[in-house]
This record gives sequence, C-alpha cells and structure tokens, in this order.
Amino acid sequence: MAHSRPDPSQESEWIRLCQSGEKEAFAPLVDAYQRRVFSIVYHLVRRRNDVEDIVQEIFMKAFAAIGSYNSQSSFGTWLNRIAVNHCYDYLRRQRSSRVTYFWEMSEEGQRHIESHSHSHKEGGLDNEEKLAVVDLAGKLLARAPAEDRVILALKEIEDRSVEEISEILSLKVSTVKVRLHRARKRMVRDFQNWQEGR
Amino acid sequence: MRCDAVRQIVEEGMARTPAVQVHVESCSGCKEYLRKWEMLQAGLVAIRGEEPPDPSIGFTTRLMRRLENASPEFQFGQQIVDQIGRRVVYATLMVALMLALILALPSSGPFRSSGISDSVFVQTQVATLANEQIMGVDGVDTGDMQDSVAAPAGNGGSEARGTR
Repeated sequence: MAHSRPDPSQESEWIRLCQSGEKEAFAPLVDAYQRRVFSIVYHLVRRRNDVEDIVQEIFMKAFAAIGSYNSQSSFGTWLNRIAVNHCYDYLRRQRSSRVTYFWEMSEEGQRHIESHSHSHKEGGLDNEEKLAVVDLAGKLLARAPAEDRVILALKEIEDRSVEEISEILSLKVSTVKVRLHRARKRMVRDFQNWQEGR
Repeated sequence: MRCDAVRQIVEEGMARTPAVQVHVESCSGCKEYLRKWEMLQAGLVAIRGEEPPDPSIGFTTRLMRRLENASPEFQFGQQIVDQIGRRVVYATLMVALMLALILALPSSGPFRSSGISDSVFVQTQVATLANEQIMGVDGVDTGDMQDSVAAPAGNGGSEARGTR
C-alpha cells in the first residue's frame, strides 16, 4: 500500500516543535499521515461512520504522547502502533456490546458460498461468488475476537509483512506467526460451524 | 508431517516441498481446511480493494481546534499518565507484594522477630515460670498452697485407714 512520506528532516523538526509544546507543528504531521491512519482504521474496524471519530481520537492521543516518542522506530510506525492499540480497544468494547449473526447473510449468498466451498473451481470466483465470499469473510471477521481481527486485518487486508506487524504490535516475529495461524484456524472453524449448524 | 505444520506452511504461502504436497494430497482434513482458508483469504483480499473513506473537508482544522480546546488539566493528566503512570503502578504493585509477603510469613520462626511476637513469647515464659513455682518443675505439688488444698484429702484418707 503506497503512502507518501514527508521529508524526514522536516518531519523531525515538526516532531521536535511538538515536543516543545508548539501545537501548530502538529497540523502538518496530521496532514501527512491522516490518509494512512484512515486506511488502517477502516480496515481494522470496517465501520465507515465511525472512522473519522476514531482517527480524531488517535491523533489526540498521539499529540498527548508525543513527548515519549524517541525516534527508535519511524514516526509512521509509532503512529500505527497507537492507531492499532486504539482500534483494538474499540473492537473489544464493540464486541462485548454487539453480536453479528450468521443469518444476516442472504439466501443467495449462502448458496454461492455452499457451492463454492464444495466444488473448488479453477479460475477464481465469478462476480456473484466474490460478493458472497467478501460478505462471508467480513462477517466472520466481525465475529472474531479483537486480537484475531487485528492481526488478520493487518496481514490479509492491509497486506503488511510479518516483520511490520511484529514492529507495530511490539511482538516477536515467531509470536506473530503463531497468532496468525491461530486466528486463521479459528476463522475456518467458525466457517465450518456455520456450515454445519445453519 | 503433522497436519498443523503443513497447514501453517501452506497458509503462509511458503514453497511447498514434495513432503508437504504429498501430505496435502493424501490428507482429506488438510485438503478441506486449506480449501476453506483459501476461499476466506480471497474474501479478505477482496476487502483490501474497498476504499477507506476520505477525511472530510476541514478535518485537520477541526482536530487542531479540539487540541486547542482540550483543557490543560486533560493534557497534564495525559502527560502524567504517560510519563509517571507506569512507575506509580509498579511502585503500588511492589508495596502490595511486600505487604502480602509480610502477611504470609509465619508469626514466629527465623524469618520473624517482631515486637508483638517477642512480647507474646515473654508473656508465655513468665506464665510458665509462675506455674513451675506453684506446681514444681514436673507438675508435682511442692508449695503451701498445695498442702492446704491437699491436707483434708490426706487427713480424710488416714482417718479412713485409721477407722478401718
């Protein structure tokens, strides 16, 4: 995913000014990184109406914590870490107050899923099947625990490498791999449960 | 090869060795699992194509205004939480741990010699000494008090023997 990065020396200067209390210097940082944060938040949360509020809160948090930024990782990675942690908290709160039911899927969608999961056709999915599969994947993701959801969204939707994810989540690469496998297994099991119990 | 290892290799898109390939083709469980996962992965990858919403016009301005209006107490509070909050939590945990240790230690013994247990020990010793003075070291009556209490019984006994 391509994101334009500001000039590093200019960026360091803005960060230094923010750390010395110059609020105005935060505006160019927001301008430079807002699209990237919008993208990550949308892919993790997938609720279009909530994205902007969440991004505002993330930037508020980032400004409040900018004194602790020490250039050990890039500013983008540091900001991503704040964004992912904030989304994780949001998803945990949402999950406890909201349940997504399988039967929200249309009859036709269910039929496409059934036919595709039993006869693996070569040559990919046609348009209708694709829509049904996207719908199913989105619903299974919405039902997944926040931890699974975050790591799967970073890997499969945001297309981040395992190394990037380990940096964002402050985890070892091997831990990321284990968690990814566990999240995938749970998702497949959830899919199987849906097929068997529907 | 174990099913779990094979599934992880395939999921991660690593090159399939002949052993992995043979396993996938011969194991119906793995075949089914991987077919389902590939379908879900296709769905997730398709989600990648969904465009995230654009920031509304004036997003940065509104954010900066919100930052300006944020009360200094809030910002100070945030700084406190960020800078010393963690240390306070660690210090509190340490104090709690030490309290738990103090409470968990036995009330006497080599690890414990508090003033309270000492005074209890002294009191016990005083009481024992007093008992020894009254009852004798081996509990046999040696004092006057014992005589006065024991005399009627002894006299009664001799009287009884005498009458007999």
